[in-house]
Amino acid sequence: MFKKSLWKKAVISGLAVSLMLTMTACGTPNQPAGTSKVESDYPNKPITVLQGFAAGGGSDQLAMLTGPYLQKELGNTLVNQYIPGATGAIAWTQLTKQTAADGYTLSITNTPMLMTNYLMNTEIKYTIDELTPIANVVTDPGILVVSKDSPFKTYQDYINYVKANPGQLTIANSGTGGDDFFTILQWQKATGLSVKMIPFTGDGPSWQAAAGNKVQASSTNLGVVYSQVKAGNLRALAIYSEKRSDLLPDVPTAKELGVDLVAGSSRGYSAPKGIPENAKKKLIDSFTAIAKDPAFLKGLQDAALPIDLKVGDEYAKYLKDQETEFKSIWDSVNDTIQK
Amino acid sequence: MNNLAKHGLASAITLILAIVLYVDSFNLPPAAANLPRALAWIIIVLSLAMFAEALYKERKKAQENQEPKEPILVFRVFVFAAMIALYVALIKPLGYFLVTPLFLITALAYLEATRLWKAVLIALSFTVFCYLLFVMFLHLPIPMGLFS
Amino acid sequence: MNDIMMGLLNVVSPFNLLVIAAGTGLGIFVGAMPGLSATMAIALLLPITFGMDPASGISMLASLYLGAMYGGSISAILLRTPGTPAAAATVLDGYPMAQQGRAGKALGVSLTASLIGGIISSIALLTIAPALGKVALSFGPVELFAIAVLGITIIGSLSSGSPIKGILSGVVGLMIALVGMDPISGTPRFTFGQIYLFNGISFIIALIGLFSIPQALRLVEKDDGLQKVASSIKDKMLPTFKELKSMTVTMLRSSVIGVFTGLIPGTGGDTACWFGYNEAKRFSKEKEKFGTGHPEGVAAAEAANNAVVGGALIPTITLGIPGSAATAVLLGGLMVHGIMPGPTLMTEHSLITYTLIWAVMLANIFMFLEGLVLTRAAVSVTKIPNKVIAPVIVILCVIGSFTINNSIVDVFVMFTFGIIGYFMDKINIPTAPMVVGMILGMMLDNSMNQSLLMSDGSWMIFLRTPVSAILLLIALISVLQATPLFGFIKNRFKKTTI
Repeated sequence: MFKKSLWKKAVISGLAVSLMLTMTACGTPNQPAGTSKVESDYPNKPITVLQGFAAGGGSDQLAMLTGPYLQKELGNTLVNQYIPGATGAIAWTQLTKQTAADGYTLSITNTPMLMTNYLMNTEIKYTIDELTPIANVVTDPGILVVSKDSPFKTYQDYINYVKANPGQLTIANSGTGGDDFFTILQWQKATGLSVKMIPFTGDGPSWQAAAGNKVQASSTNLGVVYSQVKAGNLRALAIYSEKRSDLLPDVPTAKELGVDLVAGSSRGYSAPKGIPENAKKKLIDSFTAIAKDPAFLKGLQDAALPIDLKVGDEYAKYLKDQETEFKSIWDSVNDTIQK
Repeated sequence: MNNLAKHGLASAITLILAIVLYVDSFNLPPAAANLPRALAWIIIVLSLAMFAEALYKERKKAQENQEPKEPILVFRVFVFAAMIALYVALIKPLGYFLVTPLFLITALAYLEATRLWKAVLIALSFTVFCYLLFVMFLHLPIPMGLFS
Repeated sequence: MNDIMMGLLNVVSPFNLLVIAAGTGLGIFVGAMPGLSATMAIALLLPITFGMDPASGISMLASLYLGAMYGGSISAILLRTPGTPAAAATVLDGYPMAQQGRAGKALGVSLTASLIGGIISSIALLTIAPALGKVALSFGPVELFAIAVLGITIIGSLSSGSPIKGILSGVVGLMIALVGMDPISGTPRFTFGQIYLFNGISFIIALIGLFSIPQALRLVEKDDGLQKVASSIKDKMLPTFKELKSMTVTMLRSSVIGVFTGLIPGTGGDTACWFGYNEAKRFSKEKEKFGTGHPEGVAAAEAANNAVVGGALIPTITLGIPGSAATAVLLGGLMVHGIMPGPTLMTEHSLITYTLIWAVMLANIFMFLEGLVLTRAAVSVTKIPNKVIAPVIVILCVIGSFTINNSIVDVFVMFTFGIIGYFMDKINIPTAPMVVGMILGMMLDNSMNQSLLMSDGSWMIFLRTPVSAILLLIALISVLQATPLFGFIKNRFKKTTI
């Protein structure tokens, strides 16, 4: 009897294996053609992109939108490797401490988490000085939203209420230490006013709490709530970018409203420190080239992700400036938060 | 180990866990510490209650005749668990392709599950099957070890 | 109306039918693999859909989701190893059924319940989605806290035997859930300087360990293993009309629970299966049969987790709010297809939306047919000797837990939980309450702290909104039901009426 069932099992597993093989054949992505066009030797093998967040998240979205164009420019495949955990810190620790600086491993680097991780937690040991910043791709500006049936019609209504009720207005953010958390702190510093910050577990729960009138406002990001604002479920009162967004041209910037505040979260690519010059140059050139590709730009536009290309030293300086800023904010509030 | 000793050990472990976490909670800001502290107290009370319950049952049982349990092959379970531990420890440094068939063949041979040639066949085909499923089809990572 | 018909016409094109059938089949297969959850499967297979038009691609992913919800029960029943977290409650009655030689029946009940849960939630999705979608927004921290409290009362009812042991297991589970970065204060909690603990102990990893490793060890305890009754293939798989009738109320109740659990952002199949199981037991006249191989237990859990699919899609398509982790990935998929998910989905992209809805409906039927065929083959697993099954389970668990976060530490954690689970089993401490505790711990802590921040520390906030007040009242009744006092009143009441 055992013999017979073993036969059956062999047949079943044989079927399964052949099924898998067929599916594999369908599932393998096409190799990019024309590797011969590349002058320099780099890259002559696939490049690994470490992702500090789970597949399907915001940073994966950038990888999926950017990946195909970047592959074409570089003439080799990009392989995503997901190492989620500790808001990206596990992947970034691996990138800086355990990865060969040969240009064949990159990581998507998100601000402000890239810096706030180690500013807030002494257990996290890497710093941005151990990176070669390659290029920032998008910056999703901060935005202040309220529910569609909120009494606050304009930023002025909002600020009047906050002035009359110091520390009473409830405002959601995406979590203590996240970009929106720092944005609200920066706003408080710039205006001298105070609000009651309610941390949530991510951008989604944060704006949903505002839309459901669970909190009075939410400080979040344009890309996250663009469709909700457009459909009228949320009202945007102010945007924290240098100039008005093309997506929501009616929403005033904080600067117009007399608050000196530009904030948001950025996503780009970085390599470990000390990669070969030709690899760095090739990567930077590729990003500069795809940023001119209308198809790529349209993809970002459709996903409401505003492009913000900063390459090489400019990106490095941007990270360094942000690090200094976040450090000073965190140091000033650390004691009060931990009370 | 008798039933009472087992319960005593379990109570002790949960008790220590609760106390360690309770003490550690003093490093945390109050908002993060409130719930864990309350839970730690509940665990302390319940683990003591569990021991008391076991003690009570032991007394009661002494008066009645309990039916003997069918014995289990403790040594075999222990060796098999050790094999799993070894497999888990070696898969990263040595890699999936070496350790998986080895584990399967040794385990099947030790357990006298099948004849050796069948064990080898099962081990090899299952190793390949998992590789095809996880790596070729789903593009998931597996520890490659020496084969990377 | 027109859009609905267009969607139906679009979905019955040969290519779309093929895509849905393939998606469902893949879902069942992937769902049956421990460690590969529906969420992961959607994320992993997303790139395959890039070549398709958005409607077909998204339909395929949704069918995958639905298939995986059923697939999880196959390994739960046959191997006592839930293939997905949403099938954890199925183990309680499904595996005992298999041990009694009724594996075929258990799978048949699971399949039928999955079909009914899926169809009911698809109908809800097609007809009353816009009205129900708003419910998603009415759940804030206060309401989530009430749900978490209600969920914790399940721990009590899972603790047959010794309530002390069950509650202890549940509370330890809650405590384990609190390990990791606390989003409210931004401090790492109980991480002891290990950054691998910052994200906490993944409950999927713990679940794999707690259920599967003890099972593998038990299988080698004796030479003939657990008393082995090979399930006869001739055994009627599908429930008879009479059996079906006796389970109808349970399946309907679980379906409604599943739809609502799906609706609420932050809760999904992993929660719904426990709620469904618990309510079935609460209303059953044969409470003592639950956990011993009672088909109704399987039906309750499986109808609930498949109903989550439609439920979770409701806020996804009406508001752009993912109702569960799997639908969140689905939304990401839409974006890569160039469709901005959000409230405009039903108006601006109505064809895609209605194609998706019909695809979910049809996927139920494909799931049923494919399930019937697959189950026959799956039952033959019960003929493989235990001593061959044991190491195979181990390998699936090790690879499965490694792939989730690409981390060997997770494998160590999985194994540790496995050993703990084995010893818990030896002294009759149930593991199911621990799993429930791990699911609800963070939700309880976060929502409690958020609410108290809003109310400046006043606990009255939980009684001020009707939804949370009602849920907390139900929780209170559940607790009282378990105390001797309630039994006393009930007995008195019974005596007087008879």
